[in-house]
Amino acid sequence: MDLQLIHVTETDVTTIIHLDKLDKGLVNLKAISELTNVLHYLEDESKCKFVIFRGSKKCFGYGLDTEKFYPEKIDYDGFRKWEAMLRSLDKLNKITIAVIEGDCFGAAVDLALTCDARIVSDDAKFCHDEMSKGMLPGQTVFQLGKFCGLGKMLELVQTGKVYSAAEALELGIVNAVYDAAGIEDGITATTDKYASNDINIHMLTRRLSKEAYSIIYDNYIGGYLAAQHRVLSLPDAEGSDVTEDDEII
Amino acid sequence: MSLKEYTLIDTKQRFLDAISGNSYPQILSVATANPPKRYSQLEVIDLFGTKDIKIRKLFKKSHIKGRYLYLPEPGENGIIRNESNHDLITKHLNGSIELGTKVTRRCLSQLDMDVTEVDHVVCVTSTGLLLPGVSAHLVKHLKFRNNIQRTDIVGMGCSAGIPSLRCATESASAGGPGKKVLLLCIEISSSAYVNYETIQAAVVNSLFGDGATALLLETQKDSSTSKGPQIIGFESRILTDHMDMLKYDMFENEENKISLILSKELPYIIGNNIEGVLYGLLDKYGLKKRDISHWVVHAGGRKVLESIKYNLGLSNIDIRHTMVVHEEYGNMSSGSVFFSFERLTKEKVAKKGDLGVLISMGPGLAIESCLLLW
Repeated sequence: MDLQLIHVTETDVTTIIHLDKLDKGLVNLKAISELTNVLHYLEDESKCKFVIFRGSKKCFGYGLDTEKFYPEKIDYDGFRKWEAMLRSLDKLNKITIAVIEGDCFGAAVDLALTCDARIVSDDAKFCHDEMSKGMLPGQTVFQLGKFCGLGKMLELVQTGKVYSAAEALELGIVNAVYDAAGIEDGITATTDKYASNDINIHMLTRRLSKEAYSIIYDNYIGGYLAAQHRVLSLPDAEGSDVTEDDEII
Repeated sequence: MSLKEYTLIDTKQRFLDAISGNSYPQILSVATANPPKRYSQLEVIDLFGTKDIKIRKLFKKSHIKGRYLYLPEPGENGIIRNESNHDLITKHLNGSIELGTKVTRRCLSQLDMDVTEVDHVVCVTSTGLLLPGVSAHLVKHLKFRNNIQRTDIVGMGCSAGIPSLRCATESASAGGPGKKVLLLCIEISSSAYVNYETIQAAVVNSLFGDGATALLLETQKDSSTSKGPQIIGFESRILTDHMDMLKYDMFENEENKISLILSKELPYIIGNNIEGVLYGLLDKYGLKKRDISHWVVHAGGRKVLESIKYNLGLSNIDIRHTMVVHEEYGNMSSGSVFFSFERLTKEKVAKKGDLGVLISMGPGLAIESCLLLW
């Protein structure tokens, strides 16, 4: 696969998607296409367990290169493709980690929030600056409140204030903060935590956890029982009979 | 294969290129019909006069809001009489003729087509057994040509929609361009009821509705002429180890009425096996799941839908038509999948080149699938 804007290093266990070659840290349509294609490769072919997104030491990302989205006329398809890429990431059959050093602004936060875990360097800064660019935040609005609550989310996205790694940790937006020298150890510590996870169980837990914020219990329970049955029926899992209430049809 | 060696193949485009120029039967028209009266779950349970608290709770907690049913008028006590076997068979015949007539006229009127233009009628029902079959009654009632080809499909239950579509497709394909095949799925589920105060009977009585669907299939002379989705192919599985999970029992109730038995494990067995059917279908054409834009699933029941969603990684949006059909109509057996298909068609979101998958499941235990191309 010919990749120009992102690059990928792959081992048996871990695939790292490097975002540090992005022009000014911005994601344009070509970068979205490359990210989408890499995710398809990972889903179809790669046996790795972890997928890690990394930027440079100074910048994880500054969001979408909207000038390239619509140099002459507004191309809403660019936003759709970005959201579709995030959807593919959300369904990916890997454990996904965002490693954030430096600035993480705009849609770069979308990408980080879609991952299973976020670990950051202590100099990391976050900002939802979409409104100041005359546009709306995408996945951030859908996801951020689930991490930090509606009130804080509104403040963050409506004021565009820059907040630190420590604040992000306190808000529950990131999982751990490391000093710059300790970030590599932090990655190892994080992958160690997830290493024993069965990927099917991991994926279903991810899905059910996210759905739990948008559906009522009566609807959740049917999905949970179906997912539980799938998990217990998988060849490598220890099986047992699922029992359920007659009332739930 | 490493990332360097990996060449991203546009599997959908490759498929479209491979079949370019082929002519497949198309679905030119789809229509649905139901009995005149719709009942809420509470109305049904009151009409049955059920006092059992657990059964009443089961109806109240159902995700189904209402169903169209042929039920007798209640007596002075507000409760319907216990229908005899003769009543139920008569109801199946009369209901089949009424709904079959209505849905055929709707389907053909969308094409300004007369019944005499139909070359083959495929009739599906599993909610009653008639001899002569439903097709003969409809030929007489609707005045189809007397040399019309007829096929009656019985005993395939909820899964029958797709195997009967296969039968209709093969007929349209073998007959060449211009042959018009009408597929009718007519299910009078209220003629397969037993009014017993058991959870088993209550589950069935709270789930099924009456309804009919009609599809008109034809192969176009010019393959580039697209008047409806093309029917590309099918994939089936029968899991005979699980045959007893979904079946009619006519011998264990004292009145020898048709009575459906549904196992609680059924949704999960379907879930455990659905991937094999879907990937069997997609692999035939070198396609990936992400190539599929539209999902149309038989509204078998809430648990069945959840099981399919979580085993195939589908969302509520993916199966939105089926969710609505389930809530608004209940399970209408063989025709349910086409009620959902009709909703997709009316949405007008399917674009030329889009791919869709139909999925149904039923006794056998059978799981059926079909690939459509718009």
